[in-house]
This record gives sequence, C-alpha cells and structure tokens, in this order.
Amino acid sequence: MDDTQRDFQEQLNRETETRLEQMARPDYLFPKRFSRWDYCLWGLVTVGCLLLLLAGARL
Amino acid sequence: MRGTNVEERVARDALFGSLPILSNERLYGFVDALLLLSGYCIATWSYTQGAYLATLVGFRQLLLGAFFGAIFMLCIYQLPVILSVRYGIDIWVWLRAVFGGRGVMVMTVIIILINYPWYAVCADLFASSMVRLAGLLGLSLPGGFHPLLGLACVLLGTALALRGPRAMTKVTRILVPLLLAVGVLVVIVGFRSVPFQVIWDYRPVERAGDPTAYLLSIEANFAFVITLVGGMAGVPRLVRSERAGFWAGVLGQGAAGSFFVVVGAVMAIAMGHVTGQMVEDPTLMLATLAAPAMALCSLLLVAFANIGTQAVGGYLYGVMLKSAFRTASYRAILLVLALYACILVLWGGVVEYFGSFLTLSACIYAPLAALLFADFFVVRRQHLALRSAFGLPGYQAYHYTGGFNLIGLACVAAGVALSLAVYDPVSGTVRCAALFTLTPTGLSFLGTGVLYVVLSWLPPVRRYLLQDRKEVTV
Repeated sequence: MDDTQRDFQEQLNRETETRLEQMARPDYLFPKRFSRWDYCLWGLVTVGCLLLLLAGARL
Repeated sequence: MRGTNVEERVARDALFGSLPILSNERLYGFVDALLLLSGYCIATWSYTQGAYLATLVGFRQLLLGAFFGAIFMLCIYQLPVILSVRYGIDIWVWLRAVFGGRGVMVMTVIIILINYPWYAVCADLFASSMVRLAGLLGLSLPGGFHPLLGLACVLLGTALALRGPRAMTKVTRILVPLLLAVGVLVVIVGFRSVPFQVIWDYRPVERAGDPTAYLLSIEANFAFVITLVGGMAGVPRLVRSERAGFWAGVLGQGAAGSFFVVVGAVMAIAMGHVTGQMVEDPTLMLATLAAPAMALCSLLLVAFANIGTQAVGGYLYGVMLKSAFRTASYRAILLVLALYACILVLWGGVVEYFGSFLTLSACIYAPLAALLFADFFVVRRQHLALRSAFGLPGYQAYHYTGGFNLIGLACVAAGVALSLAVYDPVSGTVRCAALFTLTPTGLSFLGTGVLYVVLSWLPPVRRYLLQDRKEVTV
C-alpha cells in the first residue's frame, strides 16, 4: 500500500471514529424512527397486497 | 498538496459509501428520494418485462401481479432499509455481520457479475430506439451501429454518475415527471388504438389452461423487484426520516416502476392486435399507432431515461462496492463497472435469455435479502457494532473465520439450492409443484430466513454469530 493510500486509510478511519463518537452522544438526533403506526401501515399494505395476489389466481 | 487531496477525498467519500452519513448531512426528503428511485426503475427494461408478462397471463392478472406483487415483495425485503436511514450506512456495512469482512467483498462481486446484465439490456434497448429514430428521420444505419450506440449509453451514464448524487438529483427532477407523462401518453394511445375490451380481456392463447402461468408471472414480478436489493440503501441512507426512506423505495420502485411494466404490456398487446407482432418498443408503437412526431418525443425521453438509469445504477453499485472495498477509488470502481457493461453490450446475448436471467439472478438475491431481514430484526435486534462493521483497527467482532461468516455463506448456498430444487429457470421445468406455489423467489426468501434464525438459536452458532454484543454503542 503506498503512502497516499495509507494516509487515506488512516484519515478514513479517524473520520469514521469521529462520526461514530458523535452518534453515540446522548444529544445526537437520529432521523425520525419508524413508529408503531408506520409498522401498522406496513402490515396493512403487505397483507392487502398478498390478498389481492391470491384473488388474482381466480381471475 | 498530498494532505489536502487526501482530506478532500475523505470528505467526498461520505457520499460514496465509505463513511456513515450524519443526520445533519442528509440530502433528501421523501419527494427527492421518490423521484431518484423512480428514475432508477423507469427504464426500458420495464417494457421488456411487461411484454414478457403478457406472454404468460391475461391483462387483469398482469395488472394485479405487476403492482401488488412488486409492492408486496418490496414491503418485505426492503423493511431493513430503515437501518440505512438510522445509521447513514449502506446495507453492505451491516452485511459484514452476516458474511464477514471478506465474505462481503466476495458477495458484492458476485452481485455485480449477476446484476450488471440489466444495464446491458438497458443499453441494448437504447440502441434499438436510436436506430429507429434514425429510420424516422430517413437514415438507415448499418448493423454495426447498434453495439456502438449501446456503448454510448453506458459511457454517458457513467459520466453522469461520476458527478455524484447531487447532479443526478437535478436530472431526475426533470426526467421522471416527463417520463411519467410519456407513460401516460403511451397508455392513452394504446387504449385508443384498439377497442378497450381487446386489452382488458386479453389472454395469451399459448397459455390457455396452463396452471403454472399465473405463478410464473408472480415469480417474474418477485424476481424483477428483488434484483434491486443490492443497491436498495444507496439513496435511503441520504434521507431524513425512516418513513420517507422506506416508502420512497417501495412506491418509487413498486408503483412507478410497475406502471412502466404495465405500459410495456399495453404496448405489446396493442401492437400484437394491430400488426400481429407483440413489440414493446414505445417508439415503434407510437410511430405505428399515433404520429411520428409523438414517436420522436417519446424516443428522446426514453433515450434520456436509459442514460439516467445507467447513471443511478452506476452510482448505487459504486457505493455498494465502496462499502465493501473502502479505500478503492469511486472513479476506478465506476470505470470497471462501465467496462463490464460494455463487454456485455458487445456480447449481445442478455436480451435473448431475459426470462432465465431474471430467475437465475433472483436465486442469489432472495437469500441475500432474507439474511439481511432475519439478521436485522431477529438475530441482532437492530443493533450493530459499527466499529467492527467499518473494519476499524482493533475491532474484530465480524472477523469470524478468516473474514468469512461460514453460517451466513452456507445459508446463501442453501437458499440458492432451494430455489433451483423447485424450478429450473433455464429449461423452465417445475420440479416440485407443491412448493412452486410459494414461487422460487418466495420460497428461497422464506427458507433462507427461517434456516438462519433457527441456526442462530443453537448455542454454539449463537456464540459464533453474536461476538459483537459487548461492542454495541448505538
């Protein structure tokens, strides 16, 4: 591995560590999470699609 | 100065997959992500898929299968994309936990080898459209132009991908609405050119009474959308909320993409009725059934669509490979991908074997998607040791056996075997009718996921898989 590549690898690792440290901080704001209602909607859409596919076999 | 160049490269690398994207660096809301992912899917390969489905089932079953088959499969296998939004990482960073650091490198290369023929299909259809455009303008191009035009599509798309996601967003904001307009226009022309009932009541004569035809069409729909798994997180990791990232993918790929599959079917059925030949080329269809001027507009937009798809695909697979090979240059990766696509274009055999290619590629995608789902929701319960996943020095939780997670890789092999045990995609032979009702892709997904979860319950396997629990920090 040449010097530039080694520099890049080390810099990349340092930057990754910095970012992960930020994410571990208690005041870090993660993107808004999938809520219970999102999971309900997901379930309804998934089951609904499956039922329509099964109905299609009768057409 | 060398230091500045390295720093600049690191800063850019966040967008190209080597670093986690922080919350304040996200680029997209729901609409931009939806447009980008729609642009990725709205390619002329959708027309090829639509024409293929029209050889299997009638229009009503085709309509149901294309939309609801796609959305169903996307809803299931794309749910883990919320991890990409949450941590700002590509799924291939998570998949180091499933395959090991070296295992991920092997899997990404296999995915590229299997998936890039899609871009050869795209380039081939672009070339066909450009030859027809020349014909409309009174120019008769010799056969040798076809592969050259295909190569041009690959290279132009690659040039756009080299500019990164911001440039592609600008293109898709204009391109996708225009393409949707073309799609609506084609549907209107199709339904006006032949009586409505001709399309609505259409059934393929060759498949009359065939009990496997509907299942084959559902399998084709499942296989069609599951090929998107490799690049599924490239855009969502740049999105501002988990809900937006997930639904942009499902609706962009499941609704917008499926609309164009149906457009392809409408074209093929209308052309079959009028000319006796089922053709899915929108340029030829509009020239035959409407006016050459409309064909010209359609052609130009379709040309841009193919180039846009090449660009977005190049970016997503470039990000995928950078997640596995962190220090590789994004530019070098894109050029290698372009070279591979060009070789496939020059070979010219992908379009001929389209149906077999779909199911063969799904053989490996279904197990991959199942392992990600099972690992994220059941085995690791949404917590990953990110330092080990990024391969930071001193963190070895995902080293496993020389860099390979033997359990994960064995499950992939089992999933592939399960799919092939039920159905031979090359000869089209159904080997087990009872299990075929789940479709080969569905069966492979379920079987691989269940196998991985059950294995994870065995204490020695659990200890092997979960060496990361003490390291988890987020």
